[in-house]
Amino acid sequence: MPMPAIPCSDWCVAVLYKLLFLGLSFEFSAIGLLFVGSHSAALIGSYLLLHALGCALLALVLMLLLPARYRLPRRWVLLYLFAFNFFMPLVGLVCVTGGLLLGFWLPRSFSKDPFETADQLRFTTHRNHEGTGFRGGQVRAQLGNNQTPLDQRLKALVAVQDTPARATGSLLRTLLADPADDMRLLAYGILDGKEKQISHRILESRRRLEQAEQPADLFRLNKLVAELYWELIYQDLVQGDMRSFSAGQVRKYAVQALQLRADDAGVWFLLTRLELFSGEIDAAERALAEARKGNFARERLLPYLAELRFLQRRYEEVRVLFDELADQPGVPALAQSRRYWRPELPAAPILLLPKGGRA
Amino acid sequence: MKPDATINRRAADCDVMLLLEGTFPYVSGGVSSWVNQIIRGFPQIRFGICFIGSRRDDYGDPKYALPDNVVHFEAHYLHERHAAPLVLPQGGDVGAYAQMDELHQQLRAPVRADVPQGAISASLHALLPLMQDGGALDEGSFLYSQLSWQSIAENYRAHCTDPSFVDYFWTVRIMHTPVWTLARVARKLIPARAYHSVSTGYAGFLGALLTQQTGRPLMLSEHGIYTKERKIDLFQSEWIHDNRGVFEKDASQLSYFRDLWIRFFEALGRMCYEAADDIVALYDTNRLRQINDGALAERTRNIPNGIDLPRFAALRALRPATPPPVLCLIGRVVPIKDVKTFIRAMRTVVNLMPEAEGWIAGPEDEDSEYAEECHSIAEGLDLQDKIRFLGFQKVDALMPQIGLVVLSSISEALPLVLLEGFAAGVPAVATDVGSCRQLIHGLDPDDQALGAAGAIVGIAEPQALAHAAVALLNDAPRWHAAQAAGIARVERYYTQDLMFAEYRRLYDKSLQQADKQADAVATRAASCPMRPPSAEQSH
Repeated sequence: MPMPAIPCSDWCVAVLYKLLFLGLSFEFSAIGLLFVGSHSAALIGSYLLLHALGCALLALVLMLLLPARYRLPRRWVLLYLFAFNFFMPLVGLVCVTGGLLLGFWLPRSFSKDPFETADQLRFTTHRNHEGTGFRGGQVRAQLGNNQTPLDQRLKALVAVQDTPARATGSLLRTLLADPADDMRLLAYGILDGKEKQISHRILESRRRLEQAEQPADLFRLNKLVAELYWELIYQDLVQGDMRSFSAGQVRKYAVQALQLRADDAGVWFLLTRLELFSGEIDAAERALAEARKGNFARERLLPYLAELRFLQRRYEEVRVLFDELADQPGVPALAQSRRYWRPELPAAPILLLPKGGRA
Repeated sequence: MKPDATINRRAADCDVMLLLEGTFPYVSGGVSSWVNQIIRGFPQIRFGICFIGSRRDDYGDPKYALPDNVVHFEAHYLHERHAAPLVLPQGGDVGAYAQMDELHQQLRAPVRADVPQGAISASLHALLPLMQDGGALDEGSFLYSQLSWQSIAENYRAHCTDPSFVDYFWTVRIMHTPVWTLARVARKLIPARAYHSVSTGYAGFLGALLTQQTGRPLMLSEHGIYTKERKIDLFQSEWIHDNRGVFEKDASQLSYFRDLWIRFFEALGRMCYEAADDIVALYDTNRLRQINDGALAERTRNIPNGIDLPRFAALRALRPATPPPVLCLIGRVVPIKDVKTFIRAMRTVVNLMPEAEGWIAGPEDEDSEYAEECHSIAEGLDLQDKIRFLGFQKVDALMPQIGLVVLSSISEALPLVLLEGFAAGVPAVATDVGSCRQLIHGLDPDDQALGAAGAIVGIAEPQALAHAAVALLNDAPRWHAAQAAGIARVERYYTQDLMFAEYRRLYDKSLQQADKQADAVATRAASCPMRPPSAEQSH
């Protein structure tokens, strides 16, 4: 009889019962023969024959009940089960059945080993062609030069695709007037994609804001929308009338947020940056004062305070502020301004990464 | 792979089989209007249409009524689920895979390098019979044979710069499956005397297969450049994985799968260019691009779009004496038209000219998310009363009511709306894309002498667009001069009659060529009684 691979269907269960019944009948008939009282060779032979038949059928039944992974190699497993039953009449059957039941009922005692052998670490150089990368200002140079082969320029453009728009916005906008169609379209796609990401979030947040009822949600969403509009300006993704429009939206939503929580230093800080950007000195002064009142980190306010004092033409105070700013490494542009305002101070180290302890 | 239920046109054969990918009759737009125009322009030709689409659900009802001279229509959807072939263990034919490798090597070589003209077509020709069901290179063999696996594994080792073999394996399978689908379409398509594809890509490749299979001529008319547009899409698509680690990544190198997809479409384009007998572009920049992508210069030509002049000229009489302060963007509301820039420009226009209005006349159902974005921008800019989204409109009714046609697209070929506007006496402000500059300022010195029919601005520059439009609308003499230049230009260079005359020559040539071939086949068959005529057709 061909052995089914998965003993689960109805016909299979029926066959199992039949085999089991037949096997047990043979086995018990064989045992019955032992109690006849005679010890003739014919009787022993009959017993062995019936017992062997019973064992073969029971071995088949047990084999079908075994989990699939224990069923291979079939011949040897079958032989083993047969031998087990044959040489230990009844006991073998009880043992195997008991083993199977235990296997079904007991929970798995072993779980997946939490440790895996990792490959030895090595520096991966998976077909990385050498010499194809761009260095320093090469990207900008290649993008700006119409004489460079189109493929090279496209590659350079792809290379700046993931750079924040704040750094590449003006360059990408120059490329919108490029004579090559591909360059124009790709540059447009990059700018549009970045703008779309933020615009989508604005739309979605505004929708959620319309449905919000709890003051905490209203505050959070108003603040979020204001910040997203500011992101459009900060990332240099909007120009002209659109920029003024976005600035207006930042103000509108920030004010709505402040109506719900007037002491939120984060919103005041956002307004400080917006008013400075719009050149509204008095409003910036007020927003900055409120941010300070709300315990906003002074070291983050310092550059904006310096800018405000500069716009107010209070240059002596700017100079003093640069003493404090001297402790803030990090931004190369800041170091240059500091050199101008406080040339007598020793140059602070320019660190591109935060100090280990403060990271 | 069943014929479309909504359109029922069946015939045993046709004169010209149009191969249309994602356009007429299911999608409205410039290319579809052009196809409609061409079919109606040649009522004596019996056209067949083989529409290639992605999935049936991506298209609604037909947007155009089929003209009477379309005698046959069938639609095939490449990404529709269809029954995969039976999984049978098979070794694979060594010779067939060697031939397939040879074709791939030819396609990998740069255009105009060592590959002699016709070599790619010859390789494709040799492979076609093997790709039939039951052949040495049928779909089952590609999907399940041991040699196919080996070939993919070897190519991965030799070329792939992405570490994931699993992604490579599935990308190659998914990418190539439509090739067998198209080969099946080609085998079952009704006989035609000539084939005419309106793009490269899948439709163009189908054209290449058909011309290889039947020996009948293939014409290719490209509006935009398919390969270029695909390339821009692929550069930005987010569904393509890049599995390179931090140390493996070189920002200037495209992810391998992105590059693979780009090269796949380039290869489809090359096979189409090589197989096509006549390759038509709308203007010279595109023609040069075709040559650069593998078309033979002597097979290329320019045939600009043309319009039905009397129909639009009649609209001039309906115009008011002074131009209405209405700027109108006529086109689908989709990203490529950059409707957002038009809306933003309207903010400035209204600031400068409070009585001005902006109309957007075009269907919004193709990209409803984008359309919604446009509405919200208009609302956000407080332009609800100044911008009108009109939906699809009849151009004839629109033209007399508007003062300027505005085209803010980021990509165009030779836009029909500009020509229609000129003919109806409406100047235009357009972005510097495709042949817009040629349409506004003229191509050669004679054309340029006619004057400027409007203004050209850079793409995505709302301020510049607004200022150019206001300058034209506020300066009556300049507006009238632009109107006169537009009318003169379209009457001299862009009439439907000129375009039909060119295409008539092209169709006559192709159909005569087809008839000559058929005669030759018949003569040979007659002289060789042992050989059935159909044997000539099937390679």
